[in-house]
Amino acid sequence: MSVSPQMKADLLAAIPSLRAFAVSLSGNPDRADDLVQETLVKAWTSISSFTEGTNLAAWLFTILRNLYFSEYRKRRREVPDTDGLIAGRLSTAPAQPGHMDFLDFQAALAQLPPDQREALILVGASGMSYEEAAGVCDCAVGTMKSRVNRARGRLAQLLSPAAPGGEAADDWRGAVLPAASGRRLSRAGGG
Amino acid sequence: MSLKKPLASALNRSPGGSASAPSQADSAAGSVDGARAAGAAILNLDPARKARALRGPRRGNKGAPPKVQIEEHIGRQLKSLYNDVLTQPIPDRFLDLLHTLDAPAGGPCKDSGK
Repeated sequence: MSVSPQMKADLLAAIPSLRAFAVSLSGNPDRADDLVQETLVKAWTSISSFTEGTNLAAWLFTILRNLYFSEYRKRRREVPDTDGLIAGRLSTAPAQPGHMDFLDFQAALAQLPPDQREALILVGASGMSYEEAAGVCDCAVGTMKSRVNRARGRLAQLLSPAAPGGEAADDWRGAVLPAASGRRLSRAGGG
Repeated sequence: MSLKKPLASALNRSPGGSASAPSQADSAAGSVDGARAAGAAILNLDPARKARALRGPRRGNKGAPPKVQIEEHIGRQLKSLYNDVLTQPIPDRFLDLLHTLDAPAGGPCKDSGK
């Protein structure tokens, strides 16, 4: 398999982004690096199908998210993974404001449906446009926008003190953010 | 740009399983320029855009309604999580991996690796 030096350099340069995407998506640094490794191997062995000069990052992100989702589906069928356990625990606990202390942002993020989490990360953190993110996820731009919106709404709900998960979904508007959910939040809760 | 659709559907043909390599030959052959433009868009971001992505939204928007405040909070947290990893040095395992992949299979390199 011959990979040009330029391509090798580009792959190398993409690793930090791939890791950031993988960690945010999987919520688990070890698993994330395994995903990145699988992605690199797969990219390397499939490099002939990539045309130099086209969007390498999008190509790599697509490989990574496909690996993640196929693994995600497999794991759900087999053993309950740790993410699932955490999510299961959180889904019962956060109803009480007193239990909100540990429900930090990452835990809330892990609770999102993976397609919404992915959408939010791509658009909200990686710097991709909705169109670019939709390309990576092979969905319509409107679908991408809707996933991002739902992800934001759900996170707002999870990070709100009085959100049992039902109709109270919108209560965060009136309720103030829990000081516990982030150091930076105290300001928002001031009034 | 309509480039994205054929590209992505071609890519998504590989569900992580059997050796199905993402192929973008078709889309790329037709619109190399478009593809190149799209390529420049992500991650090879222009410096201003990259800086904006790294910086995140403005802080301390106190006068904003709660909805805006919580969305800004979410945005900040998300970027902080992402950028924390983004700015870490590349772990050795990946440098080693690329080095290993780069070694010609039957070449003069020590074949003890496999």
